[in-house]
Amino acid sequence: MIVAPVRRAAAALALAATALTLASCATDATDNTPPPADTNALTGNLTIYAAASLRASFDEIATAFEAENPGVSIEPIVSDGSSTLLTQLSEGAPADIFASADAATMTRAVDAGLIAADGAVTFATNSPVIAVPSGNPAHVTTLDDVARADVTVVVCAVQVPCGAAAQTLLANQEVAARPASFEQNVTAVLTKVAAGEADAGLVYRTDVQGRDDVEGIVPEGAENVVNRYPIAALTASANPDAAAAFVAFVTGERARSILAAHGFGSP
Amino acid sequence: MSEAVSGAAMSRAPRPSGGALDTHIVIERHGFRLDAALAVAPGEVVALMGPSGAGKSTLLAAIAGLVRMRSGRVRIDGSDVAGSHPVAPHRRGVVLLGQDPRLFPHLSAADNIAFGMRAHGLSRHAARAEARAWLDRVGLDGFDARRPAELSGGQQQRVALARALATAPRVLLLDEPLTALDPETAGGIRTLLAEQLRAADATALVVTHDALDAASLASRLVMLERGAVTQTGTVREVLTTPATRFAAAVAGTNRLVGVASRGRWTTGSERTPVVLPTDDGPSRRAAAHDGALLAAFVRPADVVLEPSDAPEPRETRPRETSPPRTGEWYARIVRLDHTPGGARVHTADPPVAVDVSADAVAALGLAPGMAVRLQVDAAKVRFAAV
Amino acid sequence: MTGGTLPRVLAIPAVVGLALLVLPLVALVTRVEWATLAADITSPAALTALGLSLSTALVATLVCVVLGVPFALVIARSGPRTSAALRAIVTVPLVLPPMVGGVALLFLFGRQGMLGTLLEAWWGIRIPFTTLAVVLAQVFVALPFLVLALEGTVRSRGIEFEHTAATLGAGRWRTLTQVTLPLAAPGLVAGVVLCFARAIGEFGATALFAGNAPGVTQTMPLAIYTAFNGAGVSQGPAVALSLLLLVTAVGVLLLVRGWRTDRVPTAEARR
Repeated sequence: MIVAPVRRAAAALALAATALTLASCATDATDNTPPPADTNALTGNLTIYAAASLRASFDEIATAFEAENPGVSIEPIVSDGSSTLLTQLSEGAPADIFASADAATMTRAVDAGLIAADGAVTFATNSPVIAVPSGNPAHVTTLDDVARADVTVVVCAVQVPCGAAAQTLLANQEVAARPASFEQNVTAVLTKVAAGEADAGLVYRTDVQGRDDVEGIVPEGAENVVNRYPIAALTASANPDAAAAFVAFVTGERARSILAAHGFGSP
Repeated sequence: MSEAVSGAAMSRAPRPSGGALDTHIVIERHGFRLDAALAVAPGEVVALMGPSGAGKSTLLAAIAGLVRMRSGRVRIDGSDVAGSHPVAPHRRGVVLLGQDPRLFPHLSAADNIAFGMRAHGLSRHAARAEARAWLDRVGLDGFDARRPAELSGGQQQRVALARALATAPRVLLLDEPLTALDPETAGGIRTLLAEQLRAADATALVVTHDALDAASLASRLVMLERGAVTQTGTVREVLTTPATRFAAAVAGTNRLVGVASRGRWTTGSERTPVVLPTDDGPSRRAAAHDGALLAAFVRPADVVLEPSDAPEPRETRPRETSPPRTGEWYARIVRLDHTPGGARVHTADPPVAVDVSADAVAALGLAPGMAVRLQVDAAKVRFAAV
Repeated sequence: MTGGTLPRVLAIPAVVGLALLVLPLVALVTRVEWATLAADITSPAALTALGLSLSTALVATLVCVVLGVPFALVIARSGPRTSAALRAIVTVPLVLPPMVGGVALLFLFGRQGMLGTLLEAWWGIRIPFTTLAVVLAQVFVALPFLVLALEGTVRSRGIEFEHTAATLGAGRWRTLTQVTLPLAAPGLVAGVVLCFARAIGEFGATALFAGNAPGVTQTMPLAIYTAFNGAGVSQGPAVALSLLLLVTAVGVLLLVRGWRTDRVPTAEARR
């Protein structure tokens, strides 16, 4: 028979051990050596959380940044729906940079204390577009077609910036679409369209650029729905100097040309 | 239809009697071959005995249709149920009852008994009523609602018996039904079995390792050893003149193989022969041909044991003048097995077991290695050809 | 606790295991925003998701029973090699990440899928993004639970009772319904419960294969995921839904246990 006090002690011990292990794991994650104060060279790691639509362009931008700052190593970019990223950051995910696909998400980040009040800088814009599988099997030409009963259309969930944009567009144009699915990020929408599972999807114009498995159709009123992409360094960043430098880089010439090549508009 | 066995209507099962069984089973498996033919007349009970591994359970399973035969036949009432179109086990009318009562654990005693009847189409109401009657017959009145887990081993076996008989099987196969029970319970079930088998006029084949079961339940006895039938006859015949060593062990009798010589049995060397005479006519006739192999049967209780005066066994020759009345010889004690009443003394050359009372054991101070003189009266000796 | 046959030190890992299972649930309950709980739980989105989850899981469980019971019986009565092979196949969806299952289902039933193209060409049936897809995904991940639980029980019961029933005159169907299945009831019940629980909790395969549309394919897990992701800082709805699902699952478990102990008195209980 296990005596009650021994049981309690065992439980407390186990909890303490578990907590200690977790704490040490957490601190191991971002173990950056601070850059030496006496040189201008930046060093250390950077963890970037970027909206799904920024994935391809930010990979290039990161490579360019690393080329200019050989002392800095950028971790593989974490990209997902902006709202998902925000949830993770507010739950304590360690990161240095957050780039979201709309200002609303960034505002929420500021409200949560993750970003300094004036820390965000807009660096690009994007607009929605209708993506269809190559060959356009459902013959979708306008936004109204998207609402047809025989068309399977997929959009982002409304909490995600691309979903908000899609909803705004549909509301503006007074089109009552019945999406078959609300995905968590724009990549998921695009994948379904590319696979032919959906006849159409509302994504960003940058998403259809350079892909041969989908075609893009610019709907009417798209130019009025503009997502402004802000980027900011997180207040909890372990490498604030490099983070600030990256933010500056993203708003610079080099990054701008990369973004333009991917189809983003200027801020 | 046979006549009522007794006036007691309670014991009589209101069903038709069993069918005729005629089988020849050949099964080959893992280096073991069973090739046995046996027949049971309608209403007859035959006991089947043999050492472990002889194939008895396999034989029963083949008759029931639970095991496939290589070749052979299983004829019940004339039609072969195991032929080119084998009849499924549930349509043969052959019921198997084993050591393990195997009552369905999720059904009550009454529902267990009713199971077979319901399978044969009886309505739930009628089956239940009949089941209650059966419980009464096997001495378990009032046990309807009890679950198997609530019954003792003996009670479960009673229910299993009732369940088997309730379907009025054409052939009832019993596989060591009493082995798992303590002697007292077994005794009660044995009596019940004998009674119910008679009352139901069942055709039954009972596998047992106890000669008492054979004697109380069956009219004929078949010995099965290593997949073959070694002896068949009435129970009395087989137990008085067993044909093999195993059979003799079962019958509890001494079986000595020797050679016939002038109407007597003889063995042993030229210097120390052992000769056994007999009074029995058929036995004398069996010993008619000099030199033929002859088996002599003597019950351990019929051998007289006396201590031997001489330190070494002397040559003794029965007197040539008149046919000797007793066989006598000297032997050495090899082993003593204590029995409830005394001891069974085993001697060698020839291997003879002698039953001795407890007083005699003590008085004579019997111990292994002792020399003794054995003798047996001619009236107690039987011979059979080997 | 049984008296003294186990080494006492086993209590420590046992307690840790218990803590690992219980503490996260405790943590969940502590994050509930009690003020908004009632509203969150009864919001149309929550109720729709709950209703969808319960109905699809129920249908999936039924399908699993109809398909799984015969399957389990066949495996239990097969020879050793066949049954080992079948058991291995059945175990695959168990160890497969559900996402992979979703992808696989998509490749079979999707518009470009092996069967999907046929279904659409011949009968105009499209499976992805429908409630049917949800049920299919749930059946795929939950069927193995039922099959393995039942098969194990049936096999361990052995074949002797069936033989006895046969000699007593019971044909195959009677033996199945009156002997085999009643004797396997505990395994069947366990299998059904596991199956339902797995079905109602399925997320990965449904997300990929069926999609996420409220009222059609947005089951509770998907609703929770959507709410959690889109919540940013406040997780009231997500936590409320999680609590709802937790309570529902526990309720189902208790319901089934209660039914079982009512119907089948054990030998121990009678002694």
